[in-house]
Amino acid sequence: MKYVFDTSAVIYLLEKWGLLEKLLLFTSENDLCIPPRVREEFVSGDLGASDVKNLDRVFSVVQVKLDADLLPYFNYDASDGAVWVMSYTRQNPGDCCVIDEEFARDLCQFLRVRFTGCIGILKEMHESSIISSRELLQVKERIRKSSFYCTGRLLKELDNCIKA
Amino acid sequence: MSLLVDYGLDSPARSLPILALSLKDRNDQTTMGIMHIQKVMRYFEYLSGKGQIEFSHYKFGAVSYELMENIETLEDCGLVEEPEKDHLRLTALGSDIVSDVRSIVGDEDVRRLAFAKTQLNDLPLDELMFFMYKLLPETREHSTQAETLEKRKVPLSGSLFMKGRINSVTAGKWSGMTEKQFLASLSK
Repeated sequence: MKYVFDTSAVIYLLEKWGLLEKLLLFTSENDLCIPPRVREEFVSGDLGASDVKNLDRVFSVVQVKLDADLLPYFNYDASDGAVWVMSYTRQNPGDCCVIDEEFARDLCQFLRVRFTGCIGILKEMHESSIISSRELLQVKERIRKSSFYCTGRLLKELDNCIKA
Repeated sequence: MSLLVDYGLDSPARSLPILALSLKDRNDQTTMGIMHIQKVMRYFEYLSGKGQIEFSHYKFGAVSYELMENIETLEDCGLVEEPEKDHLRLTALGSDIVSDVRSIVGDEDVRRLAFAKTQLNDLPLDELMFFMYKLLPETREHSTQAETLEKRKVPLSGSLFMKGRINSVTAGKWSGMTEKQFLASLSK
C-alpha cells in the first residue's frame, strides 16, 4: 500500500513516538511518501540534522499538483500539508492519506478520499507483527509524558489497538 | 419535473434550503435554526464559489433576505414548517420532493452543502458567528457582535479546532498566533 503522510502524522510517528526502526520495517512492504510541502513543514520545526536524515530514510517525496477544488475548504491557504496530501490521493485514488487532524479527516470522508491516521498505521504494524502490544503501551506512555498536543480520539484509538 | 417548476424549485433560493433541511448534521438532526440556515447557505456559497443567492451585511453578518422570502414561500406551499419559533424542518410533502431536488442540484453541490451543514449546524451561536466573521471578514461591516467575539478569539478558535471545524493553520491565524504557538497552547 502507498501511504501519503501529513506533517503531524510524521511528527507523531517519527519524532514524538520514536518509531524509526519500526517505520523502516514497515517500508519493506509499503511505500511511505510525503509531498514536498510536508517535508518543508517538518524540516522547519526544531529538529536536529539526524531527524531530517531519518525522515529521508523512511519517506520518499512525491510531486503533487495542487487540487484547486480543495482550496475553499482550506480558506484558500495552501500552507497546510493536508491540502497537498489530499490533492495527491484524489489524483491517485488507490493510495491512502495518513491524517490525524479532525478537520481534514472529516473532509476526506465527505470527499470520499481514502484515509487513515497514525493509529491506523500502528494497527497495520501490529497486524504485521512489526510492533508488539507491549511496545504499543510504551508508545502510550511516551504520549502521556509528552507536552505535544494529541487528540482524545487518537488516545482512545490507541487504547483500542492495545486491547485488540 | 412539473412539481419542481410548480413550486419554483428550479431557483437555488428554494431548492437549496429544501436540500439543506433534508440533510443530517453531526447529531443526526435535520432541523435548522433560522440563523444556522443563513450561515450554512453562506458557507455553501463560499465553498461552491457560485454566488447563487444574494447576501448583504447586517448586524448579524451575512444575511439573505432573498433566502428568507423564499423560505416563507416554501412554508406557504406546505413544504417547510416551523415546529418551534425560529426553527425549520421539512414537512412530509417537502420530504417527498427531496430526491427530485437532489437531481437538479448535482452531486458536487450536495456534498458541499452536506459539509457546510455538518460543520455549522450544531455550533452554538457565538462559535457560528465567530466562524463566519473570520471566514468572511467583510461581513463584519455592520456587525454588533464581531468586536465582542474578537475578544474571545483564543477560546473560540480553540473550540472550533477541537471540534474539527477548522484546521490548525486556520485556528492559529484566527487566534492571532502561529500554528505552532496555537498547538502548544492546547497542550498546556
